[in-house]
Amino acid sequence: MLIELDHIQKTYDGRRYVLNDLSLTAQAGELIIIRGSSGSGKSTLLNLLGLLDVFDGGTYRLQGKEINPRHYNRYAELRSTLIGFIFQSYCLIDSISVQDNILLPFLYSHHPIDGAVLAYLEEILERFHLTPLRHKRVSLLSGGEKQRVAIARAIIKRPPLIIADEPTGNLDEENSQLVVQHLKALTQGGACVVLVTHDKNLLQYGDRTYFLHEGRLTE
Amino acid sequence: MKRSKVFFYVRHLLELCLDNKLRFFLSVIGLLVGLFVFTTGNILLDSYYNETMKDARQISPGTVALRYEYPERLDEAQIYAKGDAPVTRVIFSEQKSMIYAKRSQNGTLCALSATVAGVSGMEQDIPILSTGGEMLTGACTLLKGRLINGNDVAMRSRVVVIDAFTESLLFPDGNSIGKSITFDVSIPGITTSSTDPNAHQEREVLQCTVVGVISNSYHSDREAMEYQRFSQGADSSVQLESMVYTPLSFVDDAFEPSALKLLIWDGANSPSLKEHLTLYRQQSLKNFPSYDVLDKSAVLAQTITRLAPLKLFLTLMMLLLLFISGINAMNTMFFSIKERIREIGIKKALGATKLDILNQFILEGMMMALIAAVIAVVFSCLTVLFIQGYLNQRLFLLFEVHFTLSNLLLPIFVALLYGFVFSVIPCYYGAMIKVTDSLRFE
Ligand SMILES: Nc1ncnc2c1ncn2[C@@H]1O[C@H](COP(=O)(O)OP(=O)(O)OP(=O)(O)O)[C@@H](O)[C@H]1O
Ligand SMILES: [Mg+2]
Repeated sequence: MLIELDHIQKTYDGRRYVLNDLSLTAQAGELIIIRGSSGSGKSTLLNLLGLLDVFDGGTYRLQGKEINPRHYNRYAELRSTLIGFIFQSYCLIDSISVQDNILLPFLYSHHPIDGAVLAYLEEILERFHLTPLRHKRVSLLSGGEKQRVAIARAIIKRPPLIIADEPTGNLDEENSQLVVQHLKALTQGGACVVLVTHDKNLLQYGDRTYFLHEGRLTE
Repeated sequence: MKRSKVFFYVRHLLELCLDNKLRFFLSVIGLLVGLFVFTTGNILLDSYYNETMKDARQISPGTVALRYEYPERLDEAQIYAKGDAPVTRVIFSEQKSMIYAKRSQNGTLCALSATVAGVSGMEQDIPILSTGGEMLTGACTLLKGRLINGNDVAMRSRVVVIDAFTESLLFPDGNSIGKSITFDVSIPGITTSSTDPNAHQEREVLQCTVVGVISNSYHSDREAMEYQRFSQGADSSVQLESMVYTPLSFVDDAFEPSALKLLIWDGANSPSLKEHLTLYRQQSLKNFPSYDVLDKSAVLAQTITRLAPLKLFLTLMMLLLLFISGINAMNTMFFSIKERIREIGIKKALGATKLDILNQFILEGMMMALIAAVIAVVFSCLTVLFIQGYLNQRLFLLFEVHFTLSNLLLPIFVALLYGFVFSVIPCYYGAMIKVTDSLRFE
């Protein structure tokens, strides 16, 4: 199992539990869709999965390794090798080029930027139709282009887990379909994708769909 | 880090540095002003220091001199006997003799009055004037002709050795050897006596033949500049001074010798000689203040002590200014971090540690500081050279810029330190923010 969440609890203020006894498992090659009303805690759940935030109870195993919420500072390395993030607001660095954004994760890992990486970069640029834009500043791109760059950045290190928080939130129908098709293709390559979306048209791509309500997941 | 990555990293830093032009400009300018004043001030201060030291530097290291005003209290024989090194005896004319005067078109007057030094020889250090008008010693370099020697003293010859500056005034064609100088013995200085009808009767004229020309002392170089100022049309009169050298016996014969005498030892063993003289001064002369033991280290130490308060004050002012500009840089850094909290969050999500974030911003801070420092140093060098030119050519002040490696490297070092110190606090703040919070930041 790639992800094992067991009776996870999460509270921000110590009174209301945003996640309450939440359990979830996921394995390589799956595309899991999570839905829920606004404020139900979807982003909170993804942040926990992505080791961006701590949880207050329960256990979380990532690739069989138990995550200790008290030691989050040590998980930068895990984030860099195991997880790729895609956000609704793209979270790219606007002042640098497309190519530099995609290669940015390598600045924070021991993995060298070698020939294999550069070859993969070419392949990804081609796949997401970014080759002509590679030297362009990100701030000059359209929303759809930005999200393609964000996906490219998320997968450049071939992480086993990809977390996507409403990646289509700012995109039109056509671009949304494209993005999710790309994500689907990644699962065929062996990655596990956890996707949060409000868009009913995208549900068809999910292997499993959950609904987050009152801190728990229901099918 | 592999080379390709280092290159990528540096380029990335530069891009981020230059992304917000206004921020970059503000941080660099802020530091630049401080560093510029610091560097320029330092170089000028050092040059001034160096310039002031030039008097003392003329004294040869092994030489000790005893300067005394009341010869009757001094048992010369005892002194000579105890000094174990060859000694040069000097007496000075009581009055300065005006040996040159020239009136310019606009009515101002330039006069040169000479202190006549009677010397027993010129092989060792000879008496020279300091810029303050005090008596110092220094080696002489013969430019042409010959020096005063023992024979001249024995023969009571009427010969004189002058320096290049005196020659240039008295003999502008440069041919002084064999010509004579007229000493105007009874008239002190240039304030002669149009008011005193008897002055002309008391006047006695002595002539000496120039036999040699020696190189200028630092004082003479300054006087030469002063003369230039006059010849460029100064609006006030100038009174120049120089020292000319004649045989000891000649001063005895012709002038009323002054009470001020000088004994100069070319001390083979100067520390013990100096000790002996100091002791003698204490014991025999009862600490009479008009007896000085003079050597290079003492004069240097005196100068250093005299300059110390000024140097301290100016250095403190410059450090204060530097500190203020550093605070200003920190201020800019702080706001730039706030502006970039989202970037920090993104990088953390991609696997950057707190240390990575700290490093990046500190490096950025240091890079900006370095850029500011290099510009500041270049501007400072240009400025001090300009000031030197202005002082020399417009104000006719002798001033030489004294660059030292430390003067040029210190601001760069200070800047790097500043870049570090004044980025650490804002960066630490930036690095501590939780990822989820910083990603929310827009
Ligand atoms: N840092 C925080 N501090 C305090 N409360 C928070 C914080 N982050 C989220 N919350 C609260 O936790 C709840 C869940 O927030 P979350 O962002 O996970 O919702 P969401 O399901 O992603 O909503 P949306 O669909 O609108 O994005 C909300 O009530 C929110 O107010
Ligand atoms: Mg959300």
